[in-house]
Amino acid sequence: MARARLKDDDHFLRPGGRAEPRRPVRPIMLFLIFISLALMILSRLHHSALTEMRWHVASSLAPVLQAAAVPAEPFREIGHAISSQFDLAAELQRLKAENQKLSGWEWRAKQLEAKLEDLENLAKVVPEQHLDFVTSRVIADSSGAFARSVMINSGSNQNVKAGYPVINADGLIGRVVDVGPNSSRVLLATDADSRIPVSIGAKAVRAILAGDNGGHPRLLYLPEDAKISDGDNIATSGTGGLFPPGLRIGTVTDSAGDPRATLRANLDDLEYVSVLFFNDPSRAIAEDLAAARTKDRPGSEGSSTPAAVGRPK
Amino acid sequence: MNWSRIVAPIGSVAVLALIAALPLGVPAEDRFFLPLLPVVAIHYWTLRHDAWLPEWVVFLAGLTVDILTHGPLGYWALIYLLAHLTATLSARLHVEGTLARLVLLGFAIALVTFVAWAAASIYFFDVLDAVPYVTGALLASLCALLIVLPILRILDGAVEPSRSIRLTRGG
Repeated sequence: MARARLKDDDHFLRPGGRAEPRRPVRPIMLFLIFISLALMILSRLHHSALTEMRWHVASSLAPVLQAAAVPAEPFREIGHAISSQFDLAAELQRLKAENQKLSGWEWRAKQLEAKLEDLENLAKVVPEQHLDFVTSRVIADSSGAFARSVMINSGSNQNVKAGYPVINADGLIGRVVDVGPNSSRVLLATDADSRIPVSIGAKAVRAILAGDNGGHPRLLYLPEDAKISDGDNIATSGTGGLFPPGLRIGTVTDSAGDPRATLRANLDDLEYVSVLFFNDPSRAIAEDLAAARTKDRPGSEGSSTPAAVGRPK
Repeated sequence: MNWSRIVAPIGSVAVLALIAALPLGVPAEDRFFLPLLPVVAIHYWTLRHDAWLPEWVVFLAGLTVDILTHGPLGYWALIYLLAHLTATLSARLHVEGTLARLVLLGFAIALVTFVAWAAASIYFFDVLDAVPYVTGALLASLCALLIVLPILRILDGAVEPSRSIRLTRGG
């Protein structure tokens, strides 16, 4: 007994800290590695049950993430302060030049605005849809090698729906793809699954902005005779009804071989974003038609089954 | 076993797993180092024979990171299990001294980074750019040295049971 105790104490008396007894590799380790590999394969196959379960768990963790973001905020602020100190002088110069340029544009814009109003009155143009929005805080950032998305703290309780466009002060950042009661997942414009119909430059050249999990999304399906150049503005075209037309996105970066876009919004440092309550008019018509058909069908009178709504992706 | 030897390992791994998904303003290309930080905690606590960090807790931490970072399920779970396995096997080497232990940790980070890159490449059926992974591993090593290890050491010291030398008479 005493010998055993002395032997045990000997562990603590050895130089270089305590002696660690050999820990065996248990069979559960191999079992869990097997489970991990199986889950990876199912994820690769985009198994629907996994996708559903993943979002349920993620949305249930939203309050935890929201609480965890509070103590992390000072670190974020320190990071901002350090990075802004580095390029303060350059930023000041850039802002001065931009301000000078914008003063001229402001005068020109006011002139054009008045002219446009007159023309619209003359032509009796139908006024554009007024878009409501809700501003939300980014509570999680899922950007990495596999996805570019963020989680925000508004969901179905705030009338957010899948497919709604999301913007910040600099322009479009993406759209809502998953909605929970008080949280949503926003697929960023840089994600490999993101496809946004856009128009480029003054000639409104149509293309598709396709993310590739990198910093600069690609511009696909440009017409063969399209002439675009570096610095041309990119905005949503409204084609397909997924996004309202005219939301600014960024500029053309490389018009040589592989045209890409530089986004105006800094997607790496999102803090607050606005979800636009944009309902695709064609989808609303399709829903109305489906509802009317269901009503007209014999035997379906009084049926309260809602019309199937396709989830935009 | 002292209850604090359960709370400290699980708590530190859980907190570091949550940090991996927080919006900290880190560029997307450099975010790889954040999910690597729990590897440091897993390595540290697995080498402590009196700390309780079973394999299934490591697996669940990995799954949580997978869900929050929206990566393929099982990816980080596999990486963390590998970190646990590496630490378990390296405990048999009877390495002594702070420098040697840090080298061992550096080796573990390098190994799991290589496996993470290889697994992601296989997942996409493409050879991915290794630069973000190498940068992530270097940043994680730096964070481990400057922030994570000192905090873990403080936690370890704060919850360590008293180990006074007992003198017994007789035999």
